[in-house]
Amino acid sequence: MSTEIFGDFNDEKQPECEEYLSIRFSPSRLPLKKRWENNGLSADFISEYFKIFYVSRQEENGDILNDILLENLQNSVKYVANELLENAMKFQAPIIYPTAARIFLSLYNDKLVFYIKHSITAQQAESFEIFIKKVLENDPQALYMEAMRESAREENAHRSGIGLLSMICDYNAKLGWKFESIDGVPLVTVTTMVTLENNN
Amino acid sequence: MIELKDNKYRICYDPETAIVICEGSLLLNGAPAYEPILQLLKSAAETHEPNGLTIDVRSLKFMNSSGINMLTKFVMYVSDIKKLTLTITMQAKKSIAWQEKLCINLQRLLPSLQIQLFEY
Repeated sequence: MSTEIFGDFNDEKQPECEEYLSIRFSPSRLPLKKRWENNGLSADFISEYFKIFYVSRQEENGDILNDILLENLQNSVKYVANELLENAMKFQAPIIYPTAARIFLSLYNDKLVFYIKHSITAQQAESFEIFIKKVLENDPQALYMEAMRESAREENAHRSGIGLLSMICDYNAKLGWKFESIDGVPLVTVTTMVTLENNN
Repeated sequence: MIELKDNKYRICYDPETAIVICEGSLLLNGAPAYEPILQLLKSAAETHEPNGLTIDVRSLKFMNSSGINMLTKFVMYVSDIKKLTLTITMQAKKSIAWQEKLCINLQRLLPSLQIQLFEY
Protein backbone atom coordinates (compact mmCIF):
# COMPACT_ATOMS: atom_id res chain seq x y z
CA MET A 1 0.00 0.00 0.00
CA SER A 2 1.31 3.45 -0.83
CA THR A 3 0.23 6.81 0.59
CA GLU A 4 0.90 10.31 -0.69
CA ILE A 5 0.05 13.54 1.16
CA PHE A 6 -0.39 17.00 -0.42
CA GLY A 7 -1.08 20.41 1.15
CA ASP A 8 -2.54 20.95 4.65
CA PHE A 9 -3.49 17.42 5.62
CA ASN A 10 -3.78 15.79 9.06
CA ASP A 11 -5.39 12.48 9.80
CA GLU A 12 -9.02 12.32 10.81
CA LYS A 13 -8.62 11.19 14.41
CA GLN A 14 -7.73 14.29 16.37
CA PRO A 15 -8.30 14.00 20.14
CA GLU A 16 -9.28 17.64 20.70
CA CYS A 17 -12.21 17.37 18.27
CA GLU A 18 -15.33 18.38 20.20
CA GLU A 19 -18.01 16.84 18.04
CA TYR A 20 -18.28 15.24 14.68
CA LEU A 21 -20.81 14.22 12.10
CA SER A 22 -20.31 11.56 9.48
CA ILE A 23 -22.49 10.68 6.49
CA ARG A 24 -21.78 7.67 4.35
CA PHE A 25 -23.11 7.08 0.84
CA SER A 26 -23.27 3.52 -0.40
CA PRO A 27 -22.74 2.88 -4.09
CA SER A 28 -25.97 3.41 -5.88
CA ARG A 29 -27.22 2.20 -9.19
CA LEU A 30 -29.38 5.30 -9.51
CA PRO A 31 -28.14 7.58 -12.26
CA LEU A 32 -26.06 10.55 -11.17
CA LYS A 33 -28.82 12.94 -12.22
CA LYS A 34 -31.25 11.37 -9.74
CA ARG A 35 -28.72 11.35 -6.93
CA TRP A 36 -27.65 14.96 -7.55
CA GLU A 37 -30.33 16.46 -5.31
CA ASN A 38 -28.92 14.53 -2.33
CA ASN A 39 -25.80 16.72 -2.41
CA GLY A 40 -27.75 19.88 -1.62
CA LEU A 41 -29.91 18.09 0.97
CA SER A 42 -26.85 16.68 2.76
CA ALA A 43 -25.06 20.03 2.60
CA ASP A 44 -28.15 21.71 4.14
CA PHE A 45 -28.24 19.08 6.89
CA ILE A 46 -24.54 19.58 7.67
CA SER A 47 -24.94 23.38 7.83
CA GLU A 48 -28.00 23.06 10.13
CA TYR A 49 -26.03 20.69 12.37
CA PHE A 50 -23.24 23.25 12.51
CA LYS A 51 -25.73 26.01 13.38
CA ILE A 52 -27.05 24.18 16.47
CA PHE A 53 -23.50 23.57 17.69
CA TYR A 54 -22.44 27.16 17.01
CA VAL A 55 -25.52 28.78 18.61
CA SER A 56 -25.33 26.67 21.77
CA ARG A 57 -21.62 27.45 22.17
CA GLN A 58 -22.31 31.18 21.76
CA GLU A 59 -24.99 30.90 24.47
CA GLU A 60 -22.65 29.02 26.82
CA ASN A 61 -20.02 31.70 26.39
CA GLY A 62 -22.60 34.48 26.95
CA ASP A 63 -21.83 35.95 23.50
CA ILE A 64 -24.41 37.93 21.56
CA LEU A 65 -25.47 36.04 18.45
CA ASN A 66 -24.69 37.88 15.24
CA ASP A 67 -27.31 36.71 12.75
CA ILE A 68 -25.44 38.02 9.70
CA LEU A 69 -22.20 36.31 10.76
CA LEU A 70 -24.08 33.08 11.45
CA GLU A 71 -25.79 33.21 8.05
CA ASN A 72 -22.44 33.70 6.31
CA LEU A 73 -20.79 30.91 8.32
CA GLN A 74 -23.65 28.57 7.48
CA ASN A 75 -23.33 29.46 3.84
CA SER A 76 -19.59 28.68 3.93
CA VAL A 77 -20.31 25.29 5.52
CA LYS A 78 -22.99 24.53 2.95
CA TYR A 79 -20.81 25.66 0.03
CA VAL A 80 -17.81 23.54 1.07
CA ALA A 81 -19.93 20.46 1.91
CA ASN A 82 -21.86 20.73 -1.37
CA GLU A 83 -18.73 21.17 -3.52
CA LEU A 84 -17.01 18.21 -1.85
CA LEU A 85 -20.08 16.02 -2.33
CA GLU A 86 -20.53 17.13 -5.96
CA ASN A 87 -16.89 16.27 -6.69
CA ALA A 88 -17.20 12.88 -4.98
CA MET A 89 -20.26 12.09 -7.10
CA LYS A 90 -18.73 13.35 -10.35
CA PHE A 91 -15.39 11.64 -9.95
CA GLN A 92 -15.85 8.12 -8.75
CA ALA A 93 -14.77 4.62 -9.58
CA PRO A 94 -17.08 2.55 -11.81
CA ILE A 95 -19.98 0.88 -10.04
CA ILE A 96 -18.38 -2.60 -10.40
CA TYR A 97 -16.10 -1.63 -7.48
CA PRO A 98 -18.29 -1.43 -4.37
CA THR A 99 -16.72 1.54 -2.60
CA ALA A 100 -18.62 4.04 -0.47
CA ALA A 101 -18.10 7.79 -0.22
CA ARG A 102 -18.01 9.38 3.22
CA ILE A 103 -18.14 12.99 4.38
CA PHE A 104 -16.98 13.80 7.88
CA LEU A 105 -17.27 17.15 9.69
CA SER A 106 -15.21 17.80 12.84
CA LEU A 107 -16.19 20.77 14.97
CA TYR A 108 -13.56 22.53 17.05
CA ASN A 109 -13.72 25.72 19.09
CA ASP A 110 -11.76 27.69 16.53
CA LYS A 111 -12.21 25.80 13.28
CA LEU A 112 -14.23 23.34 11.23
CA VAL A 113 -12.61 20.48 9.41
CA PHE A 114 -14.23 18.55 6.56
CA TYR A 115 -12.99 15.26 5.19
CA ILE A 116 -14.39 13.56 2.17
CA LYS A 117 -13.17 10.13 1.24
CA HIS A 118 -13.98 8.40 -2.04
CA SER A 119 -12.40 6.11 -4.60
CA ILE A 120 -11.46 7.11 -8.13
CA THR A 121 -9.73 5.38 -11.01
CA ALA A 122 -5.93 5.51 -11.32
CA GLN A 123 -6.35 7.68 -14.43
CA GLN A 124 -8.59 10.18 -12.60
CA ALA A 125 -6.10 10.22 -9.71
CA GLU A 126 -3.26 11.07 -12.06
CA SER A 127 -4.98 14.14 -13.53
CA PHE A 128 -6.20 15.21 -10.08
CA GLU A 129 -2.62 15.02 -8.76
CA ILE A 130 -1.41 17.26 -11.59
CA PHE A 131 -4.12 19.80 -10.70
CA ILE A 132 -3.24 19.67 -6.96
CA LYS A 133 0.46 20.25 -7.64
CA LYS A 134 -0.43 23.22 -9.83
CA VAL A 135 -2.54 24.69 -6.99
CA LEU A 136 0.22 24.17 -4.42
CA GLU A 137 2.99 25.61 -6.59
CA ASN A 138 1.17 28.70 -7.90
CA ASP A 139 -0.78 31.68 -6.59
CA PRO A 140 -4.37 30.35 -6.10
CA GLN A 141 -5.94 33.73 -6.89
CA ALA A 142 -4.15 33.91 -10.25
CA LEU A 143 -5.11 30.28 -10.98
CA TYR A 144 -8.74 31.01 -10.04
CA MET A 145 -8.94 33.86 -12.55
CA GLU A 146 -7.15 31.74 -15.18
CA ALA A 147 -9.57 28.84 -14.57
CA MET A 148 -12.52 31.22 -14.99
CA ARG A 149 -11.15 32.60 -18.25
CA GLU A 150 -10.33 29.14 -19.61
CA SER A 151 -13.63 27.55 -18.67
CA ALA A 152 -15.46 30.31 -20.56
CA ARG A 153 -13.71 29.23 -23.75
CA GLU A 154 -13.89 25.45 -23.29
CA GLU A 155 -17.34 23.97 -23.58
CA ASN A 156 -18.28 21.72 -20.66
CA ALA A 157 -14.79 21.57 -19.15
CA HIS A 158 -14.95 18.53 -16.89
CA ARG A 159 -12.45 19.53 -14.21
CA SER A 160 -12.17 23.29 -14.22
CA GLY A 161 -11.07 23.32 -10.57
CA ILE A 162 -13.22 26.41 -9.94
CA GLY A 163 -14.97 24.71 -7.00
CA LEU A 164 -11.76 23.93 -5.12
CA LEU A 165 -10.14 27.25 -6.04
CA SER A 166 -13.21 29.20 -4.89
CA MET A 167 -12.97 27.48 -1.47
CA ILE A 168 -9.38 28.74 -1.14
CA CYS A 169 -9.92 32.22 -2.61
CA ASP A 170 -13.48 33.11 -1.55
CA TYR A 171 -13.75 31.19 1.74
CA ASN A 172 -10.10 31.28 2.95
CA ALA A 173 -10.15 27.48 3.22
CA LYS A 174 -7.00 25.41 3.65
CA LEU A 175 -6.95 22.26 1.54
CA GLY A 176 -5.03 19.01 1.81
CA TRP A 177 -5.24 15.58 0.23
CA LYS A 178 -4.28 11.98 0.94
CA PHE A 179 -4.00 9.47 -1.91
CA GLU A 180 -3.95 5.78 -0.95
CA SER A 181 -3.50 2.90 -3.33
CA ILE A 182 -3.04 -0.86 -2.98
CA ASP A 183 -0.83 -2.81 -5.37
CA GLY A 184 -2.82 -4.66 -7.98
CA VAL A 185 -6.06 -2.69 -7.36
CA PRO A 186 -6.88 -0.17 -10.13
CA LEU A 187 -8.41 2.29 -7.64
CA VAL A 188 -7.07 5.19 -5.62
CA THR A 189 -8.80 6.31 -2.42
CA VAL A 190 -8.64 10.08 -2.08
CA THR A 191 -9.34 11.94 1.15
CA THR A 192 -9.75 15.69 0.75
CA MET A 193 -9.41 17.76 3.93
CA VAL A 194 -10.82 21.29 4.08
CA THR A 195 -10.21 23.55 7.10
CA LEU A 196 -12.32 26.66 7.71
CA GLU A 197 -11.17 28.94 10.50
CA ASN A 198 -14.09 30.31 12.56
CA ASN A 199 -12.86 33.88 12.40
CA ASN A 200 -13.44 34.14 8.64
CA MET B 1 -41.49 38.32 -19.17
CA ILE B 2 -39.35 35.21 -19.61
CA GLU B 3 -39.08 32.80 -16.72
CA LEU B 4 -36.92 29.75 -16.03
CA LYS B 5 -37.68 27.85 -12.85
CA ASP B 6 -37.92 24.61 -10.94
CA ASN B 7 -38.88 23.94 -7.32
CA LYS B 8 -35.63 25.45 -6.00
CA TYR B 9 -34.96 28.53 -8.16
CA ARG B 10 -36.55 31.14 -10.40
CA ILE B 11 -34.84 33.29 -13.05
CA CYS B 12 -37.09 36.05 -14.27
CA TYR B 13 -36.17 38.34 -17.17
CA ASP B 14 -38.24 41.41 -17.90
CA PRO B 15 -37.34 42.85 -21.35
CA GLU B 16 -39.24 46.07 -20.52
CA THR B 17 -37.04 46.99 -17.55
CA ALA B 18 -33.92 45.07 -18.70
CA ILE B 19 -33.67 43.34 -15.31
CA VAL B 20 -32.97 39.66 -14.64
CA ILE B 21 -33.96 38.60 -11.12
CA CYS B 22 -32.42 35.41 -9.68
CA GLU B 23 -34.13 33.79 -6.69
CA GLY B 24 -33.77 30.64 -4.59
CA SER B 25 -30.94 28.11 -4.74
CA LEU B 26 -28.98 27.22 -7.86
CA LEU B 27 -27.52 23.75 -7.38
CA LEU B 28 -27.69 22.46 -10.94
CA ASN B 29 -25.47 19.66 -12.23
CA GLY B 30 -22.68 21.15 -14.33
CA ALA B 31 -22.53 23.31 -17.44
CA PRO B 32 -25.22 21.50 -19.49
CA ALA B 33 -27.86 22.07 -16.79
CA TYR B 34 -26.98 25.79 -16.63
CA GLU B 35 -27.09 26.22 -20.42
CA PRO B 36 -30.70 27.58 -20.60
CA ILE B 37 -29.90 30.27 -18.00
CA LEU B 38 -26.67 31.17 -19.83
CA GLN B 39 -28.55 31.44 -23.13
CA LEU B 40 -31.18 33.68 -21.51
CA LEU B 41 -28.49 36.03 -20.16
CA LYS B 42 -26.59 36.13 -23.48
CA SER B 43 -29.68 36.94 -25.49
CA ALA B 44 -30.79 39.57 -22.93
CA ALA B 45 -27.36 41.25 -23.16
CA GLU B 46 -27.52 41.30 -26.95
CA THR B 47 -31.06 42.71 -26.87
CA HIS B 48 -30.13 45.56 -24.55
CA GLU B 49 -26.89 46.61 -26.24
CA PRO B 50 -25.81 49.45 -26.20
CA ASN B 51 -27.85 50.32 -23.11
CA GLY B 52 -27.62 48.17 -20.04
CA LEU B 53 -28.73 44.99 -18.31
CA THR B 54 -29.19 44.51 -14.56
CA ILE B 55 -28.78 41.16 -12.85
CA ASP B 56 -30.32 41.14 -9.38
CA VAL B 57 -29.02 38.29 -7.18
CA ARG B 58 -30.23 39.71 -3.84
CA SER B 59 -32.79 36.94 -3.40
CA LEU B 60 -30.41 34.21 -4.49
CA LYS B 61 -29.71 32.21 -1.36
CA PHE B 62 -27.13 29.79 -2.70
CA MET B 63 -25.18 28.97 -5.82
CA ASN B 64 -22.72 26.13 -6.48
CA SER B 65 -19.44 26.49 -8.39
CA SER B 66 -21.11 25.45 -11.67
CA GLY B 67 -23.33 28.51 -11.21
CA ILE B 68 -20.26 30.71 -10.69
CA ASN B 69 -18.86 29.12 -13.83
CA MET B 70 -22.01 29.97 -15.78
CA LEU B 71 -21.88 33.65 -14.74
CA THR B 72 -18.17 33.68 -15.60
CA LYS B 73 -18.99 32.38 -19.07
CA PHE B 74 -21.61 35.11 -19.39
CA VAL B 75 -19.28 38.00 -18.50
CA MET B 76 -16.55 36.55 -20.74
CA TYR B 77 -19.10 36.37 -23.56
CA VAL B 78 -19.89 40.05 -23.06
CA SER B 79 -16.29 41.24 -22.58
CA ASP B 80 -14.17 38.93 -24.69
CA ILE B 81 -16.14 36.84 -27.13
CA LYS B 82 -18.76 39.30 -28.44
CA LYS B 83 -17.19 42.49 -27.08
CA LEU B 84 -20.65 43.90 -26.36
CA THR B 85 -20.77 47.57 -25.47
CA LEU B 86 -23.40 47.56 -22.78
CA THR B 87 -23.18 48.14 -19.03
CA ILE B 88 -23.87 45.09 -16.91
CA THR B 89 -24.98 45.94 -13.38
CA MET B 90 -24.98 43.35 -10.59
CA GLN B 91 -27.23 43.99 -7.61
CA ALA B 92 -26.29 42.11 -4.44
CA LYS B 93 -26.85 42.25 -0.68
CA LYS B 94 -24.15 43.86 1.43
CA SER B 95 -24.66 41.38 4.26
CA ILE B 96 -24.17 38.26 2.11
CA ALA B 97 -20.42 37.76 1.81
CA TRP B 98 -20.51 35.33 -1.15
CA GLN B 99 -22.65 37.70 -3.25
CA GLU B 100 -20.15 40.52 -2.83
CA LYS B 101 -17.20 38.21 -3.61
CA LEU B 102 -18.98 36.93 -6.71
CA CYS B 103 -19.51 40.50 -7.97
CA ILE B 104 -15.86 41.40 -7.35
CA ASN B 105 -14.62 38.26 -9.16
CA LEU B 106 -16.88 38.99 -12.13
CA GLN B 107 -15.69 42.60 -12.18
CA ARG B 108 -12.09 41.35 -12.50
CA LEU B 109 -13.14 39.66 -15.74
CA LEU B 110 -15.37 42.53 -16.89
CA PRO B 111 -13.91 45.80 -15.49
CA SER B 112 -16.89 47.84 -16.72
CA LEU B 113 -19.26 45.77 -14.53
CA GLN B 114 -21.18 47.98 -12.09
CA ILE B 115 -21.78 46.63 -8.58
CA GLN B 116 -24.71 47.89 -6.50
CA LEU B 117 -24.72 46.64 -2.90
CA PHE B 118 -27.97 47.00 -0.98
CA GLU B 119 -28.64 46.87 2.76
CA TYR B 120 -31.64 44.62 2.17
